[in-house]
Amino acid sequence: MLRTDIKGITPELIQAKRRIGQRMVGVYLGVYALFVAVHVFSPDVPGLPCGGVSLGLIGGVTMMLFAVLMALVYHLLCTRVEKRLAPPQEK
Amino acid sequence: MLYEQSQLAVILFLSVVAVVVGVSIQMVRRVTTPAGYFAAGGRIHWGVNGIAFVGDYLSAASFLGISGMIATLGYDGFLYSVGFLSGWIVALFMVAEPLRRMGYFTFTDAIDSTFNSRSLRFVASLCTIVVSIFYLIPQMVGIGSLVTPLFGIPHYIGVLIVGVVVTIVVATSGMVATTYVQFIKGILILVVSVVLTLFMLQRGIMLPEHMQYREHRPLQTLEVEKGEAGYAVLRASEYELAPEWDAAPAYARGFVNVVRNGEVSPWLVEKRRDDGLLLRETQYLERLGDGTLLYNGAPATSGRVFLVGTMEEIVHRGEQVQHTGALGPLEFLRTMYSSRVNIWPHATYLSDKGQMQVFYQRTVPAADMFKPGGMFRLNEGGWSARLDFISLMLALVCGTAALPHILIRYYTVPSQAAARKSTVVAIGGIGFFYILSLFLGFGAMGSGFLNIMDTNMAVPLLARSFGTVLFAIVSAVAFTAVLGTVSGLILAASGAVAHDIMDRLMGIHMSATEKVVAARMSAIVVGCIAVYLGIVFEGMNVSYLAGWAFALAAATNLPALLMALFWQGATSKGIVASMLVGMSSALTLILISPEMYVRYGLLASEAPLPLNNPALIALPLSWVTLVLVSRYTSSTVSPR
Repeated sequence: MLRTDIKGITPELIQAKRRIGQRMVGVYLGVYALFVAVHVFSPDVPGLPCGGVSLGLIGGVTMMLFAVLMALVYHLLCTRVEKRLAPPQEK
Repeated sequence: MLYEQSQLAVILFLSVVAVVVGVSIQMVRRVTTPAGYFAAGGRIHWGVNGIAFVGDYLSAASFLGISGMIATLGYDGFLYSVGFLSGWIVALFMVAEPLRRMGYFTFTDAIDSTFNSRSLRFVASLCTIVVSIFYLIPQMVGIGSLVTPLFGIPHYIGVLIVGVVVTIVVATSGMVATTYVQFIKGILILVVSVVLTLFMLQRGIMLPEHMQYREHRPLQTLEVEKGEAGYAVLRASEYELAPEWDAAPAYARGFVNVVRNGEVSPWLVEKRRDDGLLLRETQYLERLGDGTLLYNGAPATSGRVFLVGTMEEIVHRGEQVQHTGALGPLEFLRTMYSSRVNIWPHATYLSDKGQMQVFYQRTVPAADMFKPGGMFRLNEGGWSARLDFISLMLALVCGTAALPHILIRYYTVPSQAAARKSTVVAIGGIGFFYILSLFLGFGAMGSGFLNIMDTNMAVPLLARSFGTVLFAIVSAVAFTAVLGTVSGLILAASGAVAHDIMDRLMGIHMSATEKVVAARMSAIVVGCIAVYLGIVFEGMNVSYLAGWAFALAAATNLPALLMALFWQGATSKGIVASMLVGMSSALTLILISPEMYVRYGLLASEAPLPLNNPALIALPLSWVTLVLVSRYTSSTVSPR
């Protein structure tokens, strides 16, 4: 039961946005895996003092800000692709 | 007095109920079609949907649980926030737009969109129901924690009240009312968190004797002298050592049973000397053989639990102070980091009456709470602790994109771009909340208003340290936090029953109105199940329980969803097998986990596997099953 009532979607557009999504999720999950790996293989590192608090805390907050930044960048890239690949009547 | 009722809190609580029920009844006539009931007609603005996502997602587990975990376990609680938010990246980049493109009302719609398989439809809807019910447990437990101190009523009555209210909301106007309840809730949570954080920073950090509202009390100590006739308690004639105290299980864990007025309580052995012992008061939770919970020897409503969580020594800008005054956000964290704090770890053992959890005070450098160790013993716990940690972080990052109640929200917006934009709004709002929860958690740690036996109350009690008005407001908002999420969960489960199973699978011929009636009936049944589970799981940290729901969602739904959307080689049989293996393995691992053994009244060390979170085993198992079965069956099923 594939939907047929959503307009403005072309296979090229779907492919283009899928590529952006897959690359960006790869980058984010790589950083996330690194964050987890540091805790597993060097549990002392997150506890090291850094800037008056612990390195782990700074790392965690950075991960959160990075997620917000990635979300914004993804949206901008997708919007640009949508404008470029939209069907002629919608441009 | 911990369980003191606040009239304002009761009024706000009842106002929230009146508004929510009023909105739902007002909208009931506008909901006459399945599209209106399940997806609000697909006409919700992306901004409203984004904030509704915030409201949907920031459940009791986040609003109550995360700060509670940070307040008691420190940094390890914060790691949950990192995992929870990261899951949204998977949802945004991989799931949001394809799901909006491929489905109509439910998770099953999207996953079955290219297969049109009856068995897949049945299994996907079954998994939706199981995951939704699992996620309902922490919400209902959270509301029980909240309503008990608010009304002074038992946990089960609180759960029952909420169950009835939420069922009314969902059973009347479905996604329309749920969206607006979640939208209002999302805004309220963010505003209240900002206000509470600002209050806390303005007050700064202080020693307990400087607090305006002070409810903690100094801990009692007992001196025990060794004489010719044996050991005896000095200068406190009402206390005496219990018979055979040194042969009791408590003594092996560092506690001595002391009798007062015929009641036995465990006291921590603070010092051992040649001529005696120095004992310090503890707090203890007894789980009796029949499941009854006693807090310091009595039911929760008797008010024997006392508030803890104080600073022992404050070092501000290199100097020891008693009160810092107003602090900036970074300065607050730095001052906490360099100070000393009183924390309350616990020990568990089996006594002759049942299972005993004893909480005792320890003074530690607060820097210890800024590093792993409160929950995950990554250093001294060996590989079992590390694998458990990996498992949890895997569940959190993979679980969000597989939660049915989150996924159905993508159908409420008019386009794919709107689905994407609303997810970006959600990530911004949720990320902002988690950063605030860091301050709220560490603030609660030294506020003197921490109930160590119910960590879910950390934020409302922190608010109470500023007076009853803020406590009443925060409690009312926390109540809406549960209402909004529970509405979404019941809606997701009722959609699975009425739309996926009754309509599309069983082919029961129903008119549009009859479908809506069927969905409403399903919502009532799911609501009853939620109430029952909320009562059974009383007392557990809601974030911890949510971790299980995430693991179950990740193992059951995520491989199926991603492979159905992106892998041409996936077959319906492969997806069915993957979901069944993911669900059964995750459930089995949860049932034999150390944490569940504690719930059974046994010791955690008796569990066959030292893994508390099942994702590390169940998720890869589900994935491998999907690939293998799809490859094996690819020649026997028609291409999609």
